[in-house]
Amino acid sequence: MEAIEFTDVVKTFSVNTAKGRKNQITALDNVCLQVNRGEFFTVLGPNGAGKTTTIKILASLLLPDSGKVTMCGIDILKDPYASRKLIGFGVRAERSVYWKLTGRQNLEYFGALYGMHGKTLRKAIDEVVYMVDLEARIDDYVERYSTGMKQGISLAVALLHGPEILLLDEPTTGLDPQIARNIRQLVKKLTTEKGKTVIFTTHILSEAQFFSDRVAILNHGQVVALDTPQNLIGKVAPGMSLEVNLLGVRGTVKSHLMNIPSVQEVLEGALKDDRQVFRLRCADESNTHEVIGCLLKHCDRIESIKKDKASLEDVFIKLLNQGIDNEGNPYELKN
Amino acid sequence: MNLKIDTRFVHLGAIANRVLIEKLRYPAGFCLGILAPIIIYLPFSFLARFIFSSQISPGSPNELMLRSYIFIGILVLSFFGNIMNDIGFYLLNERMHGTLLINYSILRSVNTLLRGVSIAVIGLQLLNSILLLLAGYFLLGIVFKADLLILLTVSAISVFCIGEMAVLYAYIILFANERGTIHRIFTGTIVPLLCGISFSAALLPSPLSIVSFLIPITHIATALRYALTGIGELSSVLKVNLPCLVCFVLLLFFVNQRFHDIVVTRFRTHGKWEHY
Repeated sequence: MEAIEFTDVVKTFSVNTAKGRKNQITALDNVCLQVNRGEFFTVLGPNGAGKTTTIKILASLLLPDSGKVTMCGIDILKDPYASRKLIGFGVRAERSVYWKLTGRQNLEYFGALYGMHGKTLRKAIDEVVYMVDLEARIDDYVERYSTGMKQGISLAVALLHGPEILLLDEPTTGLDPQIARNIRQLVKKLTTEKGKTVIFTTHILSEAQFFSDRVAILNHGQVVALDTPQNLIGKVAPGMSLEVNLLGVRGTVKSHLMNIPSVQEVLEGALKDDRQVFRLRCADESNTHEVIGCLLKHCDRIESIKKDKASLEDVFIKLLNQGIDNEGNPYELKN
Repeated sequence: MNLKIDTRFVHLGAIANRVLIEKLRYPAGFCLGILAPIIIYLPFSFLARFIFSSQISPGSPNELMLRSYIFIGILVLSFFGNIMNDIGFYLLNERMHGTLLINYSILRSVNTLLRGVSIAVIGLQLLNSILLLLAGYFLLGIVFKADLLILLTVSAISVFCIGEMAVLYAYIILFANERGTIHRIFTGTIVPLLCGISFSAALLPSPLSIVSFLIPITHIATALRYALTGIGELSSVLKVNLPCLVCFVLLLFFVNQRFHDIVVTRFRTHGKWEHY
């Protein structure tokens, strides 16, 4: 059985403009998603794509206009309270805990709301505090925590009652890379070692690429792609990218490069001391020697060449530029 | 024996405990809050007593009545005003800080959150009232002739009634998105003028006396005055004030439930759990 089934979900919001008019905004447009048990599922999308709306519907904080949402077989629209017991809900750090309380007091409070008490609660608190590495500061007031520590305590609250499903809305936004990585690793560990299902929303594409089992890319409330990161890269952005640092560039290299058959895109930027950097996107590796030859012809020296496979970022940008097809259907991946 | 406690009671206890911890974090502010009614209102009452004592002979029934009005006025106004303020703005603040969203993702209802807060806030106000009673006895020379059974009944119903009024106020604030005007109008004008706080509601002209009768605070003040000082009529308290208060409590309870459903449906439809 799937942990989550999201079937034909539509959600619109009515927004008052400054002139007193009402605008209808479609946040989700016939969205269908299935998330398997124990899966690390990432919802990607630009601002306003519908990521937070998806999470809030799953947390039964929002009612969809139409569609069906089930969580471990429970219809969350019919029995929201039952579904809430299955989830741990984590939002951005600054808005999820009481700053005037200590970390421990927050955990005791939310633990009591989850119906935990006594030894069970104390043990659970010790476990989650160890997991988020807050043992040294757990008895300090949250208002004195750094942003990363606040995010840690927010995650600890979400994990406290041992939920089957974790809903995490941009938990790494605004964190420094090290803390963000620690949080991602912790969440990944929960899926691999404890079998938790994680729905994770983010803008950070690298984290989605390396940690997700599957990724859904939302744009304008529609699912434009849904697959594993590797499959998406293979289908949507095959080929490679080259990053070349050149010294003493002569003439218009960019136009010469664009004439080479496999080169799809060239971005250029100036560096210090007559140096320039070129980023090339190539459909395949067949014309690499021509690219190098062209570069050698138009510069004094190639200082460095870095070759990369396409990333999820390339997929993301390509899909968002491509958007929805003419019939308004989500982008269909071609094999 | 395996006792299974309704989770809602556990939730109420947890919420009340958290609010108390938050309030007790700053002991100086907390103590000042508890002593505030004495500091604010007692100088006025001394002044009023001094002015009127030149016109009324000391120890006469009129003088006792004057003292009782001054004292009950302080008690009811501070009790009501503080509770309305603390509970009324609670939901708005939770929504602004983002914690309303997290609480609702766990709790059955927003009413549970508000009632849990009410327990803590009313508990503190009762402590406050005990201090006021002592101040009234020692400083104003109020003679308490409390009928314990009546006092407990009146206090319990009054506490429920004011608590439910505050919950209703919390929802009205959310709907109207106002920041204290209603509170100022109510505690600054309506309650002191129409609710028999500073003078008997019977002295009001007839249209206003009807309005006065429809405000629960009028009945609370009358019943409390009788229960604490013995001024008034027992039959009137038992036949009019207490039944009216019970009706108000029931009515407010159902109105609040309705408001709760409207607010939650609105938030779940329009996504307004957070408001910056």
